[in-house]
Amino acid sequence: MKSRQLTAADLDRYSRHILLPQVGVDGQRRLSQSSALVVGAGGLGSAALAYLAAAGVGRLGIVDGDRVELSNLNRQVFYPSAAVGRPKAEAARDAIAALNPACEVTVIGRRLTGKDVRLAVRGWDVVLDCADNFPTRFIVSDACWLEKAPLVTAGILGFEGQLFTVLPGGASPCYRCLIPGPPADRFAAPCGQAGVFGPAVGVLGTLQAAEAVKVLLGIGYGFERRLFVFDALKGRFRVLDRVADPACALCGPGATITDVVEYRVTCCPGGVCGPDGCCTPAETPAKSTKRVKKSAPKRGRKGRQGHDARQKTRRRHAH
Amino acid sequence: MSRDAAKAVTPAYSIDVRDTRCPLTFVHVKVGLDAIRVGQVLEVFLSEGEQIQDVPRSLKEEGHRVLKVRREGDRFRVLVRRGKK
Repeated sequence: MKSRQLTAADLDRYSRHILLPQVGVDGQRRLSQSSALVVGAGGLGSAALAYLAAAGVGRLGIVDGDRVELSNLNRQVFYPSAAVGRPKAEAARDAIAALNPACEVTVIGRRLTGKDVRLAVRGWDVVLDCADNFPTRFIVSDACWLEKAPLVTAGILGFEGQLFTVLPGGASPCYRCLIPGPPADRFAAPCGQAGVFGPAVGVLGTLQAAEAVKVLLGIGYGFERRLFVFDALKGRFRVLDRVADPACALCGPGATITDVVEYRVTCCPGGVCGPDGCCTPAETPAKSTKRVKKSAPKRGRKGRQGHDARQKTRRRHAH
Repeated sequence: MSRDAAKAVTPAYSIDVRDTRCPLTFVHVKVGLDAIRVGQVLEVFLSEGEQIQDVPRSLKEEGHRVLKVRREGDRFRVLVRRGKK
């Protein structure tokens, strides 16, 4: 949406937001001038994109190198059956155009790498991590921290998911304070456990959009110092405190990470899947990246909740 | 008349929302408030019934000050001083 002024049609379209005192005319206008980059246009990303577009966020970026597959459609409700086989980012762009033609869309139809991720996240008002793999999550979260871009990240596996926000400039603990590195084999989900409950993905993706819009408007109380955990099977929502890790390799006083660190997953997808799990991460920094200090991050003075938040996060953030 | 009192009866902007329906009526009132600064006065023309019953109340709930409500034939003239929101 390039125009600064809201048209009569805009007033009608966004009336239910404008009526909210916390949004109002000024907030709606601010949204129309805001931008959000969504990394991953799968279940989380397509739900988030739909609500961001509907909310009138002026510029949306979509990053995804996959094509729409039939197996996506149990949860990726943004795509019609006819989109199967199409590049996902392009199908998402078309869905946004149908929903809200005023949104300007930028498509990056490939997976981000350690070399280009900082440039990709630079300049966006908020970034949503909706990726389905740890290597992308780490390069995006590192890049957002280094480029000072607010990040709303969510992950889900099976019926359980979680979400949190990372604000730059010391306003919140960073991603690595909670998840210092990719999970070891025993924490990673084997392919046989890659099932995911469609409606739960929608809940998390929609919540990502809600948090992103709040970041754009500067309203409310978010998850910048908390972790939201959702268990769709048990019908349980929990909120845990998140604290900064003094030994964090990215944001701690002795930080050793000065550029994004790119990890490679040795098998899934395209590898040999064993019955006991196959996603063994191998740390392979990009050419220009610095290595992570090998010593395991110390837990420091954490409250019980912070400790719990970490334990719960390891595996479920994979998808 | 003091300067403050003069400001109270001198609208900085005027809107007639009688041809709109709830809740779009209040959206247009908010657009009118957005066109003026905090402390300035907006003149709003409302119709009888739902509009005159709801709009002044909603304005107060949002922190604005309704200065005057006066019937003018089949319409109402409302003066509201913009609050912080």
